[in-house]
Amino acid sequence: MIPTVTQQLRAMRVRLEETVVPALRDDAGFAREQALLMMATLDWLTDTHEHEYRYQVTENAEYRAVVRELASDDAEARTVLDRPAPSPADVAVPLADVAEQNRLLKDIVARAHAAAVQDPATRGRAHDLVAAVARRQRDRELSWYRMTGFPGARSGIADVLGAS
Amino acid sequence: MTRTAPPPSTAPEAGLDRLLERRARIREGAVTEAPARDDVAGRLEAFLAAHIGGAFTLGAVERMSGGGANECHRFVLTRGGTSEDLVLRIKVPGAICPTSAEREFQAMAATRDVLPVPGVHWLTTDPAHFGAPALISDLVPGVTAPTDAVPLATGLGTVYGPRLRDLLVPQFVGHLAALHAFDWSGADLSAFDVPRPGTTDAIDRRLAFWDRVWAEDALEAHPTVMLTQQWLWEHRPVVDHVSFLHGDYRNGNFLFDEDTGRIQAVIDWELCWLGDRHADLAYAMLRAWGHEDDAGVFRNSGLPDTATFVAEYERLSGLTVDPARLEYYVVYNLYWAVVSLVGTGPRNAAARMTQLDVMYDFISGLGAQFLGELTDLLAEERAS
Repeated sequence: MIPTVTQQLRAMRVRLEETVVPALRDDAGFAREQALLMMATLDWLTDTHEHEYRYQVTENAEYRAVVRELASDDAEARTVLDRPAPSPADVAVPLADVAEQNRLLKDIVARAHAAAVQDPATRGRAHDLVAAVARRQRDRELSWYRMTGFPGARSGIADVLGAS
Repeated sequence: MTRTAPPPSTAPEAGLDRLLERRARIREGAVTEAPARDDVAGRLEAFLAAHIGGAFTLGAVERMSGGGANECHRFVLTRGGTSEDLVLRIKVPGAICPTSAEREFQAMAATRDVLPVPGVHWLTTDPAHFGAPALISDLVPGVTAPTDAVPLATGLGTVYGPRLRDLLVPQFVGHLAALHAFDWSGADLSAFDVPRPGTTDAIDRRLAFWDRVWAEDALEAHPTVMLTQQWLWEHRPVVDHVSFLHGDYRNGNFLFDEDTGRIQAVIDWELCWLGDRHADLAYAMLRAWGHEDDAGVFRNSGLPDTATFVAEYERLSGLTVDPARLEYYVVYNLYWAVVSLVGTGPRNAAARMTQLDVMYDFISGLGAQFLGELTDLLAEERAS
Protein backbone atom coordinates (compact mmCIF):
# COMPACT_ATOMS: atom_id res chain seq x y z
CA MET A 1 0.00 0.00 0.00
CA ILE A 2 1.59 3.26 -1.18
CA PRO A 3 1.52 5.75 0.41
CA THR A 4 0.46 4.57 3.84
CA VAL A 5 -2.09 6.56 5.82
CA THR A 6 0.69 7.46 8.24
CA GLN A 7 2.79 8.98 5.44
CA GLN A 8 -0.16 11.11 4.33
CA LEU A 9 -0.92 12.34 7.85
CA ARG A 10 2.71 13.34 8.32
CA ALA A 11 2.83 15.16 4.97
CA MET A 12 -0.33 17.15 5.82
CA ARG A 13 1.13 18.05 9.22
CA VAL A 14 4.36 19.34 7.67
CA ARG A 15 2.52 21.29 4.95
CA LEU A 16 0.38 23.01 7.56
CA GLU A 17 3.43 23.91 9.62
CA GLU A 18 5.76 24.99 6.80
CA THR A 19 3.35 26.42 4.23
CA VAL A 20 -0.12 27.24 5.56
CA VAL A 21 0.52 28.69 9.02
CA PRO A 22 3.33 31.07 7.95
CA ALA A 23 1.08 32.38 5.16
CA LEU A 24 -1.71 33.38 7.56
CA ARG A 25 -2.14 37.09 8.19
CA ASP A 26 -0.97 38.39 11.55
CA ASP A 27 -4.54 39.38 12.43
CA ALA A 28 -5.96 35.94 11.54
CA GLY A 29 -5.77 34.75 15.13
CA PHE A 30 -8.73 32.42 14.99
CA ALA A 31 -7.58 30.77 11.76
CA ARG A 32 -4.08 30.31 13.24
CA GLU A 33 -5.54 28.71 16.36
CA GLN A 34 -7.60 26.30 14.26
CA ALA A 35 -4.59 25.41 12.09
CA LEU A 36 -2.49 24.66 15.18
CA LEU A 37 -5.29 22.48 16.55
CA MET A 38 -5.39 20.62 13.24
CA MET A 39 -1.62 20.05 13.49
CA ALA A 40 -2.01 18.72 17.01
CA THR A 41 -4.84 16.46 15.86
CA LEU A 42 -2.73 15.11 13.00
CA ASP A 43 0.02 14.31 15.53
CA TRP A 44 -2.54 12.49 17.62
CA LEU A 45 -3.89 10.51 14.66
CA THR A 46 -0.38 9.60 13.50
CA ASP A 47 0.32 8.25 16.96
CA THR A 48 -2.84 6.19 17.26
CA HIS A 49 -4.58 5.33 14.00
CA GLU A 50 -2.50 2.22 13.26
CA HIS A 51 -3.73 0.74 16.51
CA GLU A 52 -7.45 1.48 16.33
CA TYR A 53 -8.33 -2.02 15.17
CA ARG A 54 -6.14 -3.63 17.83
CA TYR A 55 -7.66 -1.35 20.47
CA GLN A 56 -11.20 -2.36 19.52
CA VAL A 57 -10.31 -6.06 19.36
CA THR A 58 -8.74 -5.89 22.80
CA GLU A 59 -11.84 -4.24 24.24
CA ASN A 60 -14.09 -6.71 22.45
CA ALA A 61 -12.31 -9.66 24.06
CA GLU A 62 -12.33 -8.09 27.51
CA TYR A 63 -16.01 -7.12 27.44
CA ARG A 64 -17.09 -10.45 26.01
CA ALA A 65 -15.40 -12.11 28.97
CA VAL A 66 -17.14 -9.81 31.45
CA VAL A 67 -20.54 -10.21 29.79
CA ARG A 68 -20.18 -14.01 29.86
CA GLU A 69 -19.56 -13.78 33.62
CA LEU A 70 -22.13 -11.15 34.47
CA ALA A 71 -24.99 -11.47 32.02
CA SER A 72 -24.95 -14.88 30.41
CA ASP A 73 -28.72 -15.26 30.99
CA ASP A 74 -29.50 -11.98 29.30
CA ALA A 75 -31.16 -12.47 25.88
CA GLU A 76 -29.49 -9.45 24.33
CA ALA A 77 -26.13 -10.58 25.69
CA ARG A 78 -26.53 -13.99 24.06
CA THR A 79 -27.37 -12.32 20.75
CA VAL A 80 -24.31 -10.12 20.86
CA LEU A 81 -22.03 -12.94 21.99
CA ASP A 82 -23.26 -15.07 19.07
CA ARG A 83 -22.10 -12.48 16.53
CA PRO A 84 -18.77 -13.16 14.77
CA ALA A 85 -15.89 -11.78 16.79
CA PRO A 86 -12.29 -11.02 15.86
CA SER A 87 -9.65 -13.30 17.21
CA PRO A 88 -7.73 -11.84 20.14
CA ALA A 89 -4.66 -13.08 18.27
CA ASP A 90 -5.27 -10.22 15.78
CA VAL A 91 -3.71 -7.82 18.25
CA ALA A 92 -0.47 -9.75 18.46
CA VAL A 93 1.18 -8.17 15.42
CA PRO A 94 1.19 -4.36 15.06
CA LEU A 95 0.12 -2.93 11.72
CA ALA A 96 3.57 -1.53 10.99
CA ASP A 97 5.04 -5.02 11.39
CA VAL A 98 2.44 -6.50 9.05
CA ALA A 99 3.21 -3.79 6.48
CA GLU A 100 6.94 -4.45 6.80
CA GLN A 101 6.37 -8.19 6.32
CA ASN A 102 4.28 -7.48 3.23
CA ARG A 103 7.03 -5.35 1.70
CA LEU A 104 9.58 -8.10 2.29
CA LEU A 105 7.24 -10.70 0.80
CA LYS A 106 6.70 -8.53 -2.30
CA ASP A 107 10.47 -8.12 -2.74
CA ILE A 108 10.88 -11.90 -2.56
CA VAL A 109 8.12 -12.38 -5.15
CA ALA A 110 9.80 -9.83 -7.46
CA ARG A 111 13.13 -11.66 -7.26
CA ALA A 112 11.55 -15.09 -7.67
CA HIS A 113 9.43 -13.93 -10.62
CA ALA A 114 12.43 -12.36 -12.38
CA ALA A 115 14.31 -15.65 -12.04
CA ALA A 116 11.39 -17.90 -12.97
CA VAL A 117 10.56 -16.11 -16.23
CA GLN A 118 14.07 -16.85 -17.53
CA ASP A 119 13.27 -20.57 -17.55
CA PRO A 120 10.66 -21.82 -20.07
CA ALA A 121 9.73 -24.57 -17.61
CA THR A 122 8.66 -22.13 -14.90
CA ARG A 123 7.72 -18.88 -16.68
CA GLY A 124 4.09 -19.85 -17.31
CA ARG A 125 3.40 -20.79 -13.71
CA ALA A 126 5.23 -17.68 -12.46
CA HIS A 127 3.19 -15.47 -14.73
CA ASP A 128 -0.08 -17.05 -13.62
CA LEU A 129 0.71 -16.64 -9.94
CA VAL A 130 1.84 -13.03 -10.26
CA ALA A 131 -1.03 -12.14 -12.60
CA ALA A 132 -3.55 -13.57 -10.14
CA VAL A 133 -2.17 -11.58 -7.22
CA ALA A 134 -1.93 -8.50 -9.47
CA ARG A 135 -5.65 -8.74 -10.29
CA ARG A 136 -6.62 -9.01 -6.62
CA GLN A 137 -4.29 -6.14 -5.72
CA ARG A 138 -5.77 -4.07 -8.59
CA ASP A 139 -9.25 -4.51 -7.12
CA ARG A 140 -8.07 -3.45 -3.66
CA GLU A 141 -6.11 -0.46 -4.97
CA LEU A 142 -8.84 0.90 -7.22
CA SER A 143 -11.19 0.78 -4.26
CA TRP A 144 -8.67 2.17 -1.78
CA TYR A 145 -7.91 5.19 -3.98
CA ARG A 146 -11.48 5.86 -5.10
CA MET A 147 -11.82 9.07 -3.08
CA THR A 148 -8.89 10.64 -4.95
CA GLY A 149 -11.24 10.69 -7.96
CA PHE A 150 -8.78 9.06 -10.34
CA PRO A 151 -10.18 5.51 -10.46
CA GLY A 152 -13.80 6.63 -10.87
CA ALA A 153 -16.78 4.97 -9.17
CA ARG A 154 -15.73 1.87 -7.26
CA SER A 155 -16.96 -0.28 -4.42
CA GLY A 156 -15.84 0.82 -0.98
CA ILE A 157 -12.75 -0.79 0.47
CA ALA A 158 -14.86 -2.37 3.22
CA ASP A 159 -16.82 -4.32 0.60
CA VAL A 160 -13.74 -5.35 -1.36
CA LEU A 161 -11.90 -6.58 1.73
CA GLY A 162 -15.05 -8.26 3.00
CA ALA A 163 -15.44 -10.17 -0.25
CA SER A 164 -11.83 -11.36 -0.37
CA MET B 1 5.40 -7.76 -32.43
CA THR B 2 8.59 -9.75 -32.30
CA ARG B 3 9.86 -11.10 -29.03
CA THR B 4 13.42 -10.17 -28.28
CA ALA B 5 15.43 -11.11 -25.25
CA PRO B 6 16.47 -8.19 -23.07
CA PRO B 7 20.09 -7.23 -23.53
CA PRO B 8 22.24 -8.38 -20.61
CA SER B 9 23.29 -4.95 -19.41
CA THR B 10 21.66 -1.93 -20.94
CA ALA B 11 22.39 1.37 -19.23
CA PRO B 12 20.36 4.57 -19.32
CA GLU B 13 21.66 7.46 -21.41
CA ALA B 14 24.95 8.70 -19.96
CA GLY B 15 23.54 12.10 -18.94
CA LEU B 16 20.57 10.54 -17.17
CA ASP B 17 22.84 8.01 -15.51
CA ARG B 18 24.86 10.89 -14.04
CA LEU B 19 21.61 12.56 -12.98
CA LEU B 20 20.59 9.47 -10.99
CA GLU B 21 24.06 9.19 -9.46
CA ARG B 22 23.82 12.78 -8.26
CA ARG B 23 20.29 12.25 -6.94
CA ALA B 24 21.53 9.27 -4.94
CA ARG B 25 24.25 11.44 -3.39
CA ILE B 26 21.69 14.12 -2.51
CA ARG B 27 19.50 11.51 -0.80
CA GLU B 28 22.48 10.20 1.13
CA GLY B 29 23.24 13.73 2.27
CA ALA B 30 26.65 13.59 0.62
CA VAL B 31 25.84 16.74 -1.37
CA THR B 32 23.26 19.42 -0.75
CA GLU B 33 21.09 20.61 -3.59
CA ALA B 34 17.82 22.49 -3.25
CA PRO B 35 16.33 25.49 -5.03
CA ALA B 36 17.42 28.72 -3.38
CA ARG B 37 14.52 30.58 -1.80
CA ASP B 38 16.47 33.32 -0.07
CA ASP B 39 17.53 36.43 -1.95
CA VAL B 40 16.63 35.08 -5.39
CA ALA B 41 16.76 38.65 -6.75
CA GLY B 42 20.33 39.08 -5.50
CA ARG B 43 21.37 35.74 -6.95
CA LEU B 44 19.83 36.66 -10.28
CA GLU B 45 21.58 40.02 -10.24
CA ALA B 46 24.96 38.37 -9.68
CA PHE B 47 24.35 35.65 -12.29
CA LEU B 48 23.22 38.10 -14.97
CA ALA B 49 26.07 40.50 -14.22
CA ALA B 50 28.48 37.67 -14.99
CA HIS B 51 26.70 36.79 -18.23
CA ILE B 52 25.56 40.12 -19.67
CA GLY B 53 28.02 42.55 -21.11
CA GLY B 54 26.72 46.00 -20.26
CA ALA B 55 24.25 47.63 -17.96
CA PHE B 56 20.92 46.11 -17.01
CA THR B 57 18.24 46.43 -14.37
CA LEU B 58 16.21 43.73 -12.77
CA GLY B 59 12.62 44.24 -11.71
CA ALA B 60 9.64 42.49 -10.13
CA VAL B 61 11.19 39.15 -9.12
CA GLU B 62 8.25 37.04 -8.02
CA ARG B 63 7.88 33.34 -7.13
CA MET B 64 5.36 31.63 -9.40
CA SER B 65 2.81 29.14 -8.12
CA GLY B 66 2.98 25.42 -8.80
CA GLY B 67 6.32 23.95 -9.77
CA GLY B 68 6.80 20.19 -9.86
CA ALA B 69 10.07 19.64 -11.71
CA ASN B 70 11.15 23.30 -11.35
CA GLU B 71 10.62 26.13 -8.91
CA CYS B 72 10.00 29.22 -11.01
CA HIS B 73 10.51 32.94 -10.47
CA ARG B 74 9.33 35.52 -12.99
CA PHE B 75 11.19 38.77 -13.45
CA VAL B 76 11.68 41.68 -15.82
CA LEU B 77 15.10 42.29 -17.37
CA THR B 78 15.71 45.73 -18.86
CA ARG B 79 18.78 46.38 -20.98
CA GLY B 80 19.53 48.53 -23.98
CA GLY B 81 16.24 50.33 -23.65
CA THR B 82 14.08 47.20 -23.92
CA SER B 83 12.39 45.06 -21.29
CA GLU B 84 11.89 41.30 -21.38
CA ASP B 85 9.60 39.15 -19.24
CA LEU B 86 11.68 36.14 -18.23
CA VAL B 87 11.43 33.16 -15.93
CA LEU B 88 14.11 31.49 -13.84
CA ARG B 89 13.46 27.74 -13.63
CA ILE B 90 15.41 25.99 -10.83
CA LYS B 91 15.46 22.18 -10.78
CA VAL B 92 13.84 20.50 -7.78
CA PRO B 93 15.80 17.39 -6.72
CA GLY B 94 12.67 16.00 -5.05
CA ALA B 95 10.53 16.24 -8.19
CA ILE B 96 8.21 13.42 -9.21
CA CYS B 97 10.51 12.65 -12.17
CA PRO B 98 14.29 13.05 -12.23
CA THR B 99 14.99 15.48 -15.09
CA SER B 100 17.92 17.43 -16.49
CA ALA B 101 18.07 21.20 -16.98
CA GLU B 102 20.66 20.75 -19.71
CA ARG B 103 18.41 18.47 -21.78
CA GLU B 104 15.47 20.79 -21.28
CA PHE B 105 17.54 23.80 -22.39
CA GLN B 106 18.89 22.03 -25.46
CA ALA B 107 15.43 20.75 -26.41
CA MET B 108 13.87 24.20 -26.34
CA ALA B 109 16.81 25.72 -28.23
CA ALA B 110 16.73 23.00 -30.88
CA THR B 111 13.00 23.15 -31.57
CA ARG B 112 12.58 26.92 -31.44
CA ASP B 113 12.03 27.21 -35.21
CA VAL B 114 9.89 24.07 -35.46
CA LEU B 115 7.00 24.88 -33.15
CA PRO B 116 6.18 27.60 -30.62
CA VAL B 117 8.55 27.17 -27.68
CA PRO B 118 9.70 29.63 -25.01
CA GLY B 119 13.04 31.14 -26.00
CA VAL B 120 15.93 30.08 -23.78
CA HIS B 121 18.75 32.42 -22.77
CA TRP B 122 21.02 31.00 -20.07
CA LEU B 123 21.73 27.64 -18.46
CA THR B 124 23.73 26.82 -15.36
CA THR B 125 24.42 23.33 -14.09
CA ASP B 126 26.41 24.76 -11.17
CA PRO B 127 24.22 24.74 -8.04
CA ALA B 128 26.31 27.56 -6.59
CA HIS B 129 24.16 30.09 -8.45
CA PHE B 130 20.61 29.08 -7.55
CA GLY B 131 21.01 26.07 -5.27
CA ALA B 132 20.42 23.62 -8.12
CA PRO B 133 20.80 23.54 -11.92
CA ALA B 134 18.67 26.24 -13.54
CA LEU B 135 17.79 27.90 -16.80
CA ILE B 136 16.33 31.23 -17.81
CA SER B 137 13.71 31.37 -20.54
CA ASP B 138 11.10 33.72 -21.93
CA LEU B 139 7.91 34.09 -19.93
CA VAL B 140 5.17 33.34 -22.45
CA PRO B 141 1.69 34.71 -21.80
CA GLY B 142 -1.28 32.37 -21.98
CA VAL B 143 -3.26 29.79 -20.02
CA THR B 144 -3.01 26.01 -19.81
CA ALA B 145 -6.77 25.57 -19.36
CA PRO B 146 -9.87 27.72 -19.85
CA THR B 147 -10.13 30.10 -16.93
CA ASP B 148 -13.68 28.95 -16.20
CA ALA B 149 -12.61 25.30 -15.99
CA VAL B 150 -12.32 23.48 -12.69
CA PRO B 151 -8.61 23.57 -11.73
CA LEU B 152 -7.01 20.16 -12.13
CA ALA B 153 -3.61 18.89 -11.00
CA THR B 154 -1.13 19.85 -13.76
CA GLY B 155 -3.96 20.24 -16.28
CA LEU B 156 -4.86 16.55 -16.24
CA GLY B 157 -8.05 15.93 -18.20
CA THR B 158 -8.60 19.55 -19.22
CA VAL B 159 -11.89 20.09 -21.09
CA TYR B 160 -11.74 22.95 -23.62
CA GLY B 161 -15.30 23.18 -24.94
CA PRO B 162 -16.28 23.14 -28.64
CA ARG B 163 -15.06 26.64 -29.66
CA LEU B 164 -11.56 26.33 -28.26
CA ARG B 165 -11.34 22.68 -29.24
CA ASP B 166 -11.94 23.45 -32.93
CA LEU B 167 -9.26 26.13 -32.80
CA LEU B 168 -6.72 24.07 -30.87
CA VAL B 169 -6.99 20.65 -32.57
CA PRO B 170 -5.16 21.55 -35.84
CA GLN B 171 -2.35 23.21 -33.89
CA PHE B 172 -2.08 20.40 -31.32
CA VAL B 173 -1.73 17.79 -34.08
CA GLY B 174 0.32 20.01 -36.38
CA HIS B 175 2.93 20.90 -33.79
CA LEU B 176 3.45 17.26 -32.85
CA ALA B 177 3.73 16.28 -36.52
CA ALA B 178 6.27 19.04 -37.13
CA LEU B 179 8.31 18.03 -34.09
CA HIS B 180 8.50 14.39 -35.16
CA ALA B 181 9.36 15.21 -38.79
CA PHE B 182 12.03 17.71 -37.69
CA ASP B 183 15.59 16.88 -38.77
CA TRP B 184 17.42 17.32 -35.48
CA SER B 185 20.76 16.04 -36.77
CA GLY B 186 22.29 19.53 -36.92
CA ALA B 187 21.12 20.64 -33.49
CA ASP B 188 23.24 20.79 -30.34
CA LEU B 189 21.95 17.76 -28.46
CA SER B 190 25.15 16.93 -26.64
CA ALA B 191 23.23 16.02 -23.48
CA PHE B 192 21.51 13.17 -25.36
CA ASP B 193 22.76 9.77 -26.51
CA VAL B 194 21.83 9.40 -30.18
CA PRO B 195 20.12 6.08 -30.94
CA ARG B 196 20.55 4.26 -34.23
CA PRO B 197 17.51 3.89 -36.49
CA GLY B 198 16.63 0.27 -37.24
CA THR B 199 17.55 -0.77 -33.67
CA THR B 200 16.04 -0.82 -30.17
CA ASP B 201 18.75 1.51 -28.78
CA ALA B 202 16.33 4.25 -27.82
CA ILE B 203 13.77 2.16 -25.97
CA ASP B 204 16.53 0.00 -24.40
CA ARG B 205 18.04 3.05 -22.73
CA ARG B 206 14.66 4.42 -21.76
CA LEU B 207 13.55 1.16 -20.14
CA ALA B 208 16.91 0.90 -18.37
CA PHE B 209 16.34 4.40 -16.99
CA TRP B 210 12.82 3.82 -15.70
CA ASP B 211 13.67 0.36 -14.36
CA ARG B 212 16.48 1.91 -12.36
CA VAL B 213 14.25 4.71 -11.07
CA TRP B 214 11.68 2.13 -9.95
CA ALA B 215 14.36 0.01 -8.28
CA GLU B 216 15.67 3.03 -6.38
CA ASP B 217 12.36 4.69 -5.54
CA ALA B 218 9.56 2.16 -5.05
CA LEU B 219 8.62 1.85 -1.40
CA GLU B 220 7.57 -1.71 -2.13
CA ALA B 221 7.47 -4.14 -5.04
CA HIS B 222 4.32 -4.47 -7.14
CA PRO B 223 3.17 -7.53 -9.11
CA THR B 224 1.84 -5.49 -12.03
CA VAL B 225 5.18 -3.72 -12.38
CA MET B 226 6.88 -7.13 -12.49
CA LEU B 227 4.62 -8.20 -15.37
CA THR B 228 5.01 -4.85 -17.13
CA GLN B 229 8.80 -4.75 -17.02
CA GLN B 230 8.98 -8.27 -18.41
CA TRP B 231 6.48 -7.53 -21.19
CA LEU B 232 8.15 -4.28 -22.23
CA TRP B 233 11.59 -5.84 -22.55
CA GLU B 234 10.26 -8.83 -24.46
CA HIS B 235 8.24 -6.83 -26.98
CA ARG B 236 10.58 -3.93 -27.81
CA PRO B 237 9.89 -2.66 -31.33
CA VAL B 238 12.62 -1.43 -33.64
CA VAL B 239 12.43 2.30 -34.40
CA ASP B 240 12.26 3.13 -38.12
CA HIS B 241 12.74 6.90 -37.86
CA VAL B 242 14.31 8.51 -34.80
CA SER B 243 12.28 11.57 -33.85
CA PHE B 244 12.82 14.25 -31.27
CA LEU B 245 10.14 13.54 -28.65
CA HIS B 246 8.57 15.94 -26.20
CA GLY B 247 7.89 13.15 -23.71
CA ASP B 248 4.92 14.79 -21.97
CA TYR B 249 2.79 16.02 -24.88
CA ARG B 250 -0.81 16.42 -23.71
CA ASN B 251 -3.39 18.92 -22.55
CA GLY B 252 -2.04 21.09 -19.75
CA ASN B 253 1.43 21.26 -21.30
CA PHE B 254 0.88 24.10 -23.75
CA LEU B 255 -0.05 27.73 -23.25
CA PHE B 256 -2.75 29.29 -25.41
CA ASP B 257 -4.49 32.62 -25.87
CA GLU B 258 -8.03 32.15 -24.64
CA ASP B 259 -9.51 34.72 -27.06
CA THR B 260 -7.84 33.66 -30.28
CA GLY B 261 -7.26 30.00 -29.42
CA ARG B 262 -3.67 30.30 -30.64
CA ILE B 263 -1.10 28.02 -29.01
CA GLN B 264 1.58 30.38 -27.73
CA ALA B 265 4.10 27.81 -26.55
CA VAL B 266 4.53 24.11 -25.92
CA ILE B 267 6.03 23.85 -22.45
CA ASP B 268 7.40 21.31 -19.95
CA TRP B 269 10.16 19.76 -22.07
CA GLU B 270 11.86 18.03 -19.14
CA LEU B 271 11.05 14.52 -20.34
CA CYS B 272 12.22 14.92 -23.94
CA TRP B 273 14.21 12.16 -25.64
CA LEU B 274 15.22 10.80 -29.03
CA GLY B 275 13.12 7.81 -30.00
CA ASP B 276 9.99 6.40 -31.57
CA ARG B 277 7.23 8.92 -32.42
CA HIS B 278 4.63 6.38 -31.23
CA ALA B 279 5.73 7.13 -27.68
CA ASP B 280 4.44 10.71 -27.90
CA LEU B 281 1.35 9.69 -29.87
CA ALA B 282 0.36 6.95 -27.43
CA TYR B 283 0.96 9.30 -24.50
CA ALA B 284 -1.33 11.99 -25.92
CA MET B 285 -3.92 9.24 -26.38
CA LEU B 286 -3.89 7.92 -22.78
CA ARG B 287 -7.45 7.58 -21.54
CA ALA B 288 -6.69 9.62 -18.42
CA TRP B 289 -6.05 12.84 -20.37
CA GLY B 290 -9.17 12.64 -22.53
CA HIS B 291 -12.93 12.49 -22.26
CA GLU B 292 -16.01 11.73 -24.34
CA ASP B 293 -17.68 14.75 -25.92
CA ASP B 294 -21.42 15.33 -26.02
CA ALA B 295 -21.71 13.00 -29.01
CA GLY B 296 -19.91 10.21 -27.16
CA VAL B 297 -16.70 10.59 -29.22
CA PHE B 298 -13.47 10.16 -27.27
CA ARG B 299 -11.32 13.28 -27.41
CA ASN B 300 -7.61 12.52 -27.00
CA SER B 301 -6.08 15.00 -24.54
CA GLY B 302 -9.48 16.70 -24.69
CA LEU B 303 -8.87 17.61 -28.36
CA PRO B 304 -8.85 15.42 -31.52
CA ASP B 305 -10.84 12.22 -31.96
CA THR B 306 -8.56 9.27 -32.72
CA ALA B 307 -9.30 8.98 -36.46
CA THR B 308 -8.65 12.68 -37.05
CA PHE B 309 -5.55 12.60 -34.88
CA VAL B 310 -3.96 9.72 -36.81
CA ALA B 311 -5.00 10.87 -40.30
CA GLU B 312 -3.92 14.47 -39.86
CA TYR B 313 -0.70 13.49 -38.12
CA GLU B 314 0.24 11.17 -40.99
CA ARG B 315 -0.66 13.80 -43.59
CA LEU B 316 1.26 16.60 -41.91
CA SER B 317 4.34 14.67 -40.82
CA GLY B 318 4.69 12.28 -43.76
CA LEU B 319 5.23 9.58 -41.13
CA THR B 320 3.05 6.50 -40.71
CA VAL B 321 1.26 5.39 -37.55
CA ASP B 322 1.67 1.70 -36.71
CA PRO B 323 -1.13 0.37 -34.44
CA ALA B 324 1.11 -2.32 -32.96
CA ARG B 325 3.75 0.19 -31.91
CA LEU B 326 1.04 2.47 -30.61
CA GLU B 327 -0.13 -0.38 -28.38
CA TYR B 328 3.41 -1.00 -27.15
CA TYR B 329 3.92 2.62 -26.25
CA VAL B 330 0.61 2.81 -24.38
CA VAL B 331 2.07 0.18 -22.03
CA TYR B 332 5.40 2.03 -21.94
CA ASN B 333 3.74 5.33 -21.01
CA LEU B 334 1.54 3.77 -18.35
CA TYR B 335 4.70 2.16 -16.96
CA TRP B 336 6.83 5.28 -16.62
CA ALA B 337 3.83 7.17 -15.23
CA VAL B 338 3.47 4.46 -12.57
CA VAL B 339 7.18 4.68 -11.78
CA SER B 340 6.74 8.40 -11.15
CA LEU B 341 3.33 8.40 -9.43
CA VAL B 342 3.72 5.29 -7.27
CA GLY B 343 7.51 5.16 -6.98
CA THR B 344 9.25 8.54 -7.04
CA GLY B 345 6.46 10.82 -5.77
CA PRO B 346 5.70 8.92 -2.55
CA ARG B 347 9.41 8.19 -2.00
CA ASN B 348 10.34 11.88 -2.17
CA ALA B 349 7.32 12.81 -0.06
CA ALA B 350 8.39 10.33 2.63
CA ALA B 351 11.97 11.61 2.44
CA ARG B 352 10.74 15.22 2.83
CA MET B 353 12.49 16.23 -0.41
CA THR B 354 9.57 18.25 -1.75
CA GLN B 355 7.02 20.85 -0.72
CA LEU B 356 4.50 18.98 -2.89
CA ASP B 357 4.42 16.03 -0.52
CA VAL B 358 0.66 16.11 0.09
CA MET B 359 -0.02 16.33 -3.65
CA TYR B 360 2.43 13.54 -4.48
CA ASP B 361 0.77 11.28 -1.93
CA PHE B 362 -2.67 12.17 -3.29
CA ILE B 363 -1.97 11.67 -6.99
CA SER B 364 -0.66 8.19 -6.33
CA GLY B 365 -4.37 7.50 -6.89
CA LEU B 366 -3.74 8.17 -10.57
CA GLY B 367 -0.91 5.66 -10.36
CA ALA B 368 -3.38 3.10 -8.99
CA GLN B 369 -5.66 3.80 -11.95
CA PHE B 370 -2.74 3.27 -14.38
CA LEU B 371 -1.72 0.08 -12.55
CA GLY B 372 -5.31 -1.11 -12.98
CA GLU B 373 -5.12 -0.44 -16.73
CA LEU B 374 -1.79 -2.28 -16.97
CA THR B 375 -3.22 -5.23 -15.03
CA ASP B 376 -6.17 -5.36 -17.43
CA LEU B 377 -3.78 -5.34 -20.41
CA LEU B 378 -1.11 -7.72 -19.18
CA ALA B 379 -2.41 -10.03 -16.47
CA GLU B 380 -4.70 -11.77 -18.96
CA GLU B 381 -1.87 -12.43 -21.42
CA ARG B 382 -0.56 -15.94 -20.92
CA ALA B 383 3.21 -16.05 -20.79
CA SER B 384 4.63 -18.42 -23.40
